[in-house]
Amino acid sequence: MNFNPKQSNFMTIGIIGQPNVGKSSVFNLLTGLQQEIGNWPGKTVDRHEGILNISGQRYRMVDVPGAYSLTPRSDEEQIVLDFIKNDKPNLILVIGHAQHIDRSLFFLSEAMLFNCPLVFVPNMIDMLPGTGVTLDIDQLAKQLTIPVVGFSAKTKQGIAELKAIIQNPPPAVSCVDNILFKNSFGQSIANLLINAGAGGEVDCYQAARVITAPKLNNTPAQQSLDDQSNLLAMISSRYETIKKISAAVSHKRNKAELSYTDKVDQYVTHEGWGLLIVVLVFALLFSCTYLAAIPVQGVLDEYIITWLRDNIDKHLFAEQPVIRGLLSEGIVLGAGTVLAFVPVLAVFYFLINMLEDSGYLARVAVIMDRYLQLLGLPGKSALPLFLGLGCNVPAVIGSRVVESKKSRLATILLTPFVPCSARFTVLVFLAPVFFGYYAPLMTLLVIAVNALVFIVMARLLTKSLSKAKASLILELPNYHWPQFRLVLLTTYQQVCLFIKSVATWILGFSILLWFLSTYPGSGLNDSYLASVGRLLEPIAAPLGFDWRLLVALFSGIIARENVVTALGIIYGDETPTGLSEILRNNISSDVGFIFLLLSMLFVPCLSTVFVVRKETRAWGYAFLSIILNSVVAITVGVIARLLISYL
Amino acid sequence: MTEKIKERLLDCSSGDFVEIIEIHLEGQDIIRLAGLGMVDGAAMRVMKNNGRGPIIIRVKQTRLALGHHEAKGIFVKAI
Ligand SMILES: Nc1nc2c(ncn2[C@@H]2O[C@H](COP(=O)(O)OP(=O)(O)OP(=O)(O)O)[C@@H](O)[C@H]2O)c(=O)[nH]1
Ligand SMILES: [Mg+2]
Repeated sequence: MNFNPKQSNFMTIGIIGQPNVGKSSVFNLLTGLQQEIGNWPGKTVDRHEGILNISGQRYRMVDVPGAYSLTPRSDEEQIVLDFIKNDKPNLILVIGHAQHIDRSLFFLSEAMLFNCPLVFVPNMIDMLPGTGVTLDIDQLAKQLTIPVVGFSAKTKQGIAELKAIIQNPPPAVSCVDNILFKNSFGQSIANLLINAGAGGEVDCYQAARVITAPKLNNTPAQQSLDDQSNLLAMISSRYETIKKISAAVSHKRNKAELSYTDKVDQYVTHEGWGLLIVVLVFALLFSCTYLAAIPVQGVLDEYIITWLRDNIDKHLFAEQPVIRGLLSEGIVLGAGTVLAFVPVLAVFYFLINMLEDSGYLARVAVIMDRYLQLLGLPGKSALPLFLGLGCNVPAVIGSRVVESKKSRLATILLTPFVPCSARFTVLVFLAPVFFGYYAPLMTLLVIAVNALVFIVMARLLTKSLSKAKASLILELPNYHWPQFRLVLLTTYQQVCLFIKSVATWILGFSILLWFLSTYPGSGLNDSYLASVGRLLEPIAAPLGFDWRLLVALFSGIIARENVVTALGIIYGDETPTGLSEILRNNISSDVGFIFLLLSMLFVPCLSTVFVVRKETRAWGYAFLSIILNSVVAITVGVIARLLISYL
Repeated sequence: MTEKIKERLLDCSSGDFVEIIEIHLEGQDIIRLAGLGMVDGAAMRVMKNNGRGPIIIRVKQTRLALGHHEAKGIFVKAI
């Protein structure tokens, strides 16, 4: 986009509301942009902007993360507050949930503290008929004295009405006069404002903070019971008012009846069944990913990458071998590495997004909570760590669902210890080469060592980063059928994001590696890469590696699949059977075992490192991740070698 | 206050219908629970509590999973 909406005199319209009420869906409907949507509270973690065009007039729309209240508690709430304070929106759409009208009104009352023009938009009214809840929109608007639009992002109901209000925004809402503040809370705010004088130094929000916030950071032990009961009394008085309003506008039949979701949950969140379902669902997820993605990967490799390289080698730059090599081995091969990721990621993301939109993923966090607590991690870490088994890159991105900053960092740093599919590929290819009939047993042993390392690292990291507390407040959304079109578009966006964030780096590194392995000599054996490998050989001596294994290990840093390719180049036979033969004759099974351990645990691939840097916004953590993995991998390797020599 | 019927949410069993009478938690958790409709006087149904893992409850149309830390700080009475 060439223009900067912030600088032009566009009207700014904010979309705020509690998590999972459909803010991003409303935003997408209005702007036509695709914003990450998911049936998991806390999906949007940053603000997103788009342009709404109503008959030639353009508006700057801002979608912010969901917050349960506007009292700062975590990053999300702070982003919303910063947005309101800094951007001074001309109109705020307060999105509510038609089914949860009490909670939505509580959030609305918080939004009213900012003295902004507001529209209240109870979303998802298409769901009401099925749940036996009724909502009288006209009556609600009359009581609240602000515009109220019953809305459905699914059926697009209310969109014309909403656009009309955006074109003619209402005046700012003053909290003091509103019905939601006809209680002791509103009274206290009014008193404070009067005492502060007519200078206008104190606004409603600050007044509200003065009344409730000083005690927010105290633990119950630090607080006298008086303070606590004051905060609780304020909340109660607000809910008294809300109850009166909601009783007048909303009714529910069959209060005690169990919903469809409740019935499903009896199994899904059950101790035994729940765990079984988690295991089955993820087993299915991974098998589907590989069944669907590996053939595509093969086709891409054969018909695009190999075809391109063949043609370049045959027809292009015959006179200039340098350019040809750069093109064929540097650029096309590097692009191939990026491309090889795409099918796996696309299928994996797609399936995960389906699970997410259905509402299931929140249950996974509940089931896994108990087990992850043992490691000092919150249940929500389960999702990114599972993702890591496919590929570490989406796992690091997925750690956004973890609320506490420290737990999130622990999850990110732990992710590279989760063996990804590429590492499994190396393991499965090399184990039979080194161990023959004992391959399955040794594969399991390598995985067991990896699991043990993961557990130890989890304990160490969470101990040094965060104090574990069995704390969890997680909303479990209703199940619904995933919206196929939305899931598809979200997946597309995620894959694009991946390509954008890592492609240039992989490409650059691939070119560098091509250079190092080609110059200055005639072959790999005389290359800079081999020199570096030989230089490092003494250091790798405790592991029993010669320079060849070392170079293969390092080439895995670009992408783990490269380990096998590099072994092929180094030992001079790129056919699988030929390579197996040579490796078997050259590498003892002891060294092979240690090599496999290291290829599981050593420095995460570049894409992961770059994503760690992107998500933590600090190179420091990316380097920490590299160092952590190297140190752990080498330590484990050396210990293994010592143990083997005693056996 | 009638001490006899007051109990921690942690000690309720699956299927119980209870009403919140007191919340003893950090202020920030109190606010977040308020945003979810968990306030004094709110009626809820304990969907799952078997002593291990999170406690699942339903307040009106909202389903919540709560950790043991939270469930210890929420006091309820049977209704
Ligand atoms: N039936 C129905 N479902 C909706 C409607 N609007 C959104 N949804 C669904 O509700 C879920 C949440 O939607 P999002 O748009 O991601 O909600 P959000 O408020 O942006 O969520 P956070 O970013 O996590 O705060 C998704 O599964 C949507 O498909 C609606 O009007 N009707
Ligand atoms: Mg969102």
